[in-house]
Amino acid sequence: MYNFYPLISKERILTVSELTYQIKKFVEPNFQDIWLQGEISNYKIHTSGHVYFTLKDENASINAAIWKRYADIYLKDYTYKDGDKVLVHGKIEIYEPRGEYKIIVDFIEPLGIGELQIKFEMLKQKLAAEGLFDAKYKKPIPEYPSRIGIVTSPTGAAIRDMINIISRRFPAVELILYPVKVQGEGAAEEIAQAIRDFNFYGKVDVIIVGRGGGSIEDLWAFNEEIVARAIFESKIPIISAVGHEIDYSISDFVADLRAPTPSAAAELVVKNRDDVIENIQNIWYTIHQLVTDKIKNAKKEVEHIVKSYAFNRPIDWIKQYTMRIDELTRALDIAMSHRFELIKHNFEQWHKRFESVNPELALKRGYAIVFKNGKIIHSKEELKIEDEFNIKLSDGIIKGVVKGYGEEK
Amino acid sequence: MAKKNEITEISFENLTFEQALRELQNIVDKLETGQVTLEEAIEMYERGVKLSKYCIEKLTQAELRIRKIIKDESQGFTLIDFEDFNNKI
Repeated sequence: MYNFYPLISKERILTVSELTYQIKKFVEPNFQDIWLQGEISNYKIHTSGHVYFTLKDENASINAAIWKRYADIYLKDYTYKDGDKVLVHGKIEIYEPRGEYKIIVDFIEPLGIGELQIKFEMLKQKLAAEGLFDAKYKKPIPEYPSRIGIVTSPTGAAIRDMINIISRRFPAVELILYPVKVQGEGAAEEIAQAIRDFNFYGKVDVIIVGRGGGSIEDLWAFNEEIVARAIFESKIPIISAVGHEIDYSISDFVADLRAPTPSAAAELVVKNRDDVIENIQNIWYTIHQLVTDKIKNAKKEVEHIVKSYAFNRPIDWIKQYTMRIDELTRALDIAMSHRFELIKHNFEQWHKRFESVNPELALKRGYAIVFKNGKIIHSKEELKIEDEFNIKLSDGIIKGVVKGYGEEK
Repeated sequence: MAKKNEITEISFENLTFEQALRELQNIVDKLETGQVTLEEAIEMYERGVKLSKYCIEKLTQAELRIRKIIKDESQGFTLIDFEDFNNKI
């Protein structure tokens, strides 16, 4: 084999160290202030506290390191993972023992999300790590609260919607509004204070904390740590109802229950009254059936005993037992009369509700009813020529006689 | 007997809707297991009538009350009717 490079100058032969050093000297000064974007892979946190990863795009990759003192700043509240796109700042360093170069990072931030979103993620991770979102801390929401505390703006759509829905579904409750600012300077402090005050006051069964939809800035108060802590510390169960269905806030995570919207919170916090009434009527009916059956069975039993002892003289205790059952039957009858009261009462309630479809009210609006022989006439077929009929108006009755039929419409 | 009724009425005063409903459910459960005497069954029946009446009354008679809580300087709380809302609608 021939050497194509004659040994012109042996003095130019370098050691590996020399070469690497020269490259280092040449490269490093030119790459001291680098902004670099890329995707993280092989993300590893060393026990020393230094963090190592690879930054890559479709065609290239570079090793990266964040020394502990920077990791402590930028990675304290936010953990990156493989696949995250990031923006880093740093300088290129050549590591001579391995002949490798890497970027030494002194700043890192997630790429493509706004500052508020970063704050959100940071707080979320921090509170999650502290266990504030853990299921074991979630308090059950009472099934039938009688007093509902509401922390929201007194003028927003949220309170209006909630009042409307609750008054329609289950008006047998009391709403206690704690008016607060829900956005802007000081809103988070007011919301947190309201939650603490409700706990101090004590006489509400559940608290709804929320507001209607808005931009991430508008909803921001519900992403503040002070609100999250107040919710977590509340002894009273809290429903968080912030923004629209797609908006998730820190308060949603820490609350005992998340409602997608304030309206949904109103639907969650109370049942539908008609369903509850029906349920009670079913329970009542079951009790009635069970007790009636029990008495019937007892009667049969006594009759059976009396029959089987037919040829013996009926002994005293059977007599007494029979009397006892008769007494109980009477007691049941008395209880039944209470039941009629109940039915009557319910009927009155229903009657009230159906008053809106009372025909008398229709008459007042100008409608009329046609009667023949006391029966309401629904069709012209029911009246012949010269038939007499009555027309009922709101203030009295007019008598009439059929003279003919109008044209078919 | 009269004395017993009295006790029942008094205990109703302090009964929340939820407690009354739970008691009704308990009565059903007990009756369904069949482990009650006839006398007990009748007593439960009477109690059941009262309880369901009480529950239905609570449900149908009450109207939604909306109040506003106000904190005063001495850290006390006052409730006032939330009129703003009614005026605005």
